[in-house]
This record gives sequence, structure tokens and C-alpha cells, in this order.
Amino acid sequence: MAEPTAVDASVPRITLDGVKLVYRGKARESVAVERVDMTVMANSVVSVVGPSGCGKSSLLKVISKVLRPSEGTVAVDGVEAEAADLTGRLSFMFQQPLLLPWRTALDNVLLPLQITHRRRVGEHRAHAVDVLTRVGLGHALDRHPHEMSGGMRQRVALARALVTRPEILLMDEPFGAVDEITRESLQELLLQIWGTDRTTIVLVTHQVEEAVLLSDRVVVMSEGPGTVLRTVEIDLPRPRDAEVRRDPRFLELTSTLRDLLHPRSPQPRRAAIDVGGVR
Amino acid sequence: MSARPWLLAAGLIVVWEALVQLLDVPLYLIPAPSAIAGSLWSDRAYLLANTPTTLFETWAGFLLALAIGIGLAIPVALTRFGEEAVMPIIVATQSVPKTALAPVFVVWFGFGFAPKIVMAAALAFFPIVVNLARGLRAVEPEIVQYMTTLGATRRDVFLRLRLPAALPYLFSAMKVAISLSTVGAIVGEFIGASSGLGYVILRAINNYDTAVMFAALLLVSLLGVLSYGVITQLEKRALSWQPESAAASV
Repeated sequence: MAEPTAVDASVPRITLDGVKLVYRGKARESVAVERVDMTVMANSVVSVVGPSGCGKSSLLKVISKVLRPSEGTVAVDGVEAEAADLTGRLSFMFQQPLLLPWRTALDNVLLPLQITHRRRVGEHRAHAVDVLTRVGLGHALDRHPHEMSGGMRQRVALARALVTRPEILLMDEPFGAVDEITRESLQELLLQIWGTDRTTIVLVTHQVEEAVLLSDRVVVMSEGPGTVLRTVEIDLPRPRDAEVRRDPRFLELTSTLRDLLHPRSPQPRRAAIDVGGVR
Repeated sequence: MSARPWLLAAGLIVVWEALVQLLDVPLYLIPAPSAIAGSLWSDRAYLLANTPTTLFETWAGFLLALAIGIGLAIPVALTRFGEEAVMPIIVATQSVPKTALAPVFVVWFGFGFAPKIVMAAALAFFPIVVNLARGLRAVEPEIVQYMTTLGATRRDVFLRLRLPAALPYLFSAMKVAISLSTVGAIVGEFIGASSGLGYVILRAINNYDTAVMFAALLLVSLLGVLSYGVITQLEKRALSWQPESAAASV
């Protein structure tokens, strides 16, 4: 497999231009996302935050070509997504690990390789073991999902996402379903991994701290139909670790984002309904 | 396994023996367990000679049911035509009392193994279709979507996701099916046969030889238990990944 091309961080990797997404139901249409412009620089981490139902997850589906935008264009490395072959270049991680229960950790991680490489899986076995070791599961290669904790399963899912050496990693609330302590250790793991791999990451989250900790840029979306309210540059120095949370600038940035998500005016009631944190 | 079921069975046999002896029940009505054991021994050659026939018909019918069941379940689970057109017909066939078709099967397939195997399969295929179709659909749509983003074809999704996900359903259906195909083989032998335990049972009844009949019945049950055991063993191997509790509850 080709190594990810070293791209200067000032080059856009993903560009969304006037993306509108309409879901056509039987009776009516609903607009999920309205005119979204967004640029994700190569090898950077961009988080998308916003209230539930603002179309955050839909944006990831548009980037990965699961959904086609009703209007506007998506381009990856300057090539319109419609024409670009993203197979193997792009990985997904979700809130649920979505592991196959009959497969061991190692066999779950091998799944994407089996689908993309067919016969030559044997060659990649050692690499899969490496990736599992990196996420701290070198000791649990042969365990089945039901023999693992929620945090371990999510680590397997992360290893499965990384095993194809993706250029782009799309994460949909990847740490949303685990407890706080597990979440923090997974966040730190992701910081470490990004530190060495420099993958381009688009992270959908409802957690303001998570967005600030992990990202270079945070896109704040409005209530559905979602539009981009504002883009906030996260100018905290890298490499980062959990200590960044104590940085005064961290607090400043998180409060800026909170204010954007809970505006005190002009519509305090509507905005206060759900910031996505309620579950 | 605990000793309790064995103790209870032994106790019931003792009570049965005692009642038959005390009440002086005639042999042709209800034979005492000792009489059944006696006939098992004295007629062992006759009984054993007729056992393979029934065993063969049961398993051949079961395998035929498995092939038909798998062949029907896949389109029923995965295509709209199968779900909306084929499935209702399969369900409708279940209202036909299939054992009543045994004489027709003789007309169609003669007096050899064929009508017995067809009867066994006719009784056994339904649970396989229903359960397997349910299992093939019992996958989270998110996983299907995830695999699709990886570039998986429908074939990948079927072989790597749907089929393994459906295996537990298939095995529980197979356990029901093997019992039904035993019944089918016996019913088939009742109608027109010159060998097999069903034939032995029918002939013994005609001669009022109830002890032999019960002996044959015992062998049929034994066959059923053994066949069931074979499938349970296969299941344990195939589903070794399952947590203990889940495997035991299926």
C-alpha cells in the first residue's frame, strides 16, 4: 500500500463548497444541512460541534460518499469526491465499535484489509498486530468483543480504522459512549497517534473540551438545518497532552465555543434545548 | 449434567414396572419395562437390521431440508420478491397437514427411500427457512454501511457478515429440524415400507406384539437423541466464539 503522501499542512485536503443535503422522506423533505462551506487542511484535525440534529454526522457521510449532496460539491485533494476513488484512503470510526462478535480483536482489525486486499491479507497480519499494540491491546489479540470492556472495544475499532493507513480519518462521536475516565485515555491515545501519523481527521463531537483538546480548528454548527456558525482556530501549541486542559487559553477557547453553542440572546430558549450533551 | 433426570427416569421405570405387575396389566396393552428390555434383547438382530434404514432416511431428509431451507431463506431474507412473494406461499404450505400427504408421496415416489426422505424434508424445512431468514437479516445496518464504506461488495457483506451472524439461528433451527425429520421418516414408513423402525412398529402393532413396538419406539428416541447430540456438537465447534451463557441458552 502507498504510504500517505506527505502534504504540507497549508494545502486543503477536504473542501466542502455550498453543501446542502436534503433527506427525502415519503411525505416530506427535510433539510439536514444548508450551504456548508468547510475546508480541512491536510494533516490537521478539524472538529465539528453543534446541537443534536444539526447534520454533523451527515457531513461525514457526504465526505465519505455514503450520501450525495443535494447541492454543492465535496472535493478531496482538489478532485471532486464523485470522481475520486476513496477506497482504502479513508477510514471511519463511530460511537459504537461495530465489531463482529465472532471475530477476535486481531481478526476484526484485519477485516478492512480482507475487503480491500482480498488475498494478500497474510502480509498485513504483522502490521495489524503492531497497530493493536499501539492502541495498547498487544495482550488481547485473541479476545472476542464480549471478553473486552467498552473502552477496549473502542480501541479495537480505532486500530481497525488505522490499519489501512488512511489519509483521512472520519470520526463520529467516537468516544461518546464510554465513561469519562476511559474517554480521557482514548483522547490521549488519539493525540499520540496523530502525533506520529499526522492523519487528516474530521471529528464530530458534542463535547467542547474534546474538540479543543484534539483539534486545530473547530467548526461550530447551528441548529438544524445546520449551517456553519463560526470556525474557531485552536492555537494551542502541539504536541499536546492532557495537561493542556489547565492552560488558560484552553479555558478561553472552551468558553468561546460554549457561548457560541448557548447564545444568551437573541433566542435563549431554542438554543438551550439541547446542545447534544444530553443522552 | 446433574444426576437428577436419570434418577427421576429410573424412579418412573420402577413405578411403571410395579404398577404393571401389581395390576396384572395384559402384555398387549402395556408391557412392563422388563418385557420391553427382554424383547430388545431377544429381537436385537431384527431391530438392529431395521435401524439403519430409519437413520438414513432421517439424515437424508434433514440434509434435503437444509438444502431447500438455505436455498429459500437467502432470497427470502435478501430480496423484496422473496420476502413479499415467496414467504407468504411458504407460510401457506404450513397449513397443509403434511403427514396427510404421505400416501400421495407413495404414489409419486414409489415404495423406496424417496417418499420417506421427502416426508422428512417436508416436515423439517420450514423452521430452517424462517430462522435462517431471520438470522440473515439480524445484522445492524450500521455495520453494513461501515463495510460498504470500506468498499465491500454484496458478496462480502453476505459471506463475512450475514452468514456468520445467522449461524446461531441456523443451528437452533437445525435442532428442531432433526427431530421433525425423524418424525417424517417414521410416518413415511407407516404408509408403505418393508424395512425401518416405523415398519417394525406398524408390524408389531398388527401382531399385538406391544413389547417389540415399545422396543422399536425406544430405538427411535435413541436415534433422535443421538442425532440431536451430533448437531449440538457441531454447533459447539462452529460457535465457539459465543459466550458460555449465550451458547447454552440457544
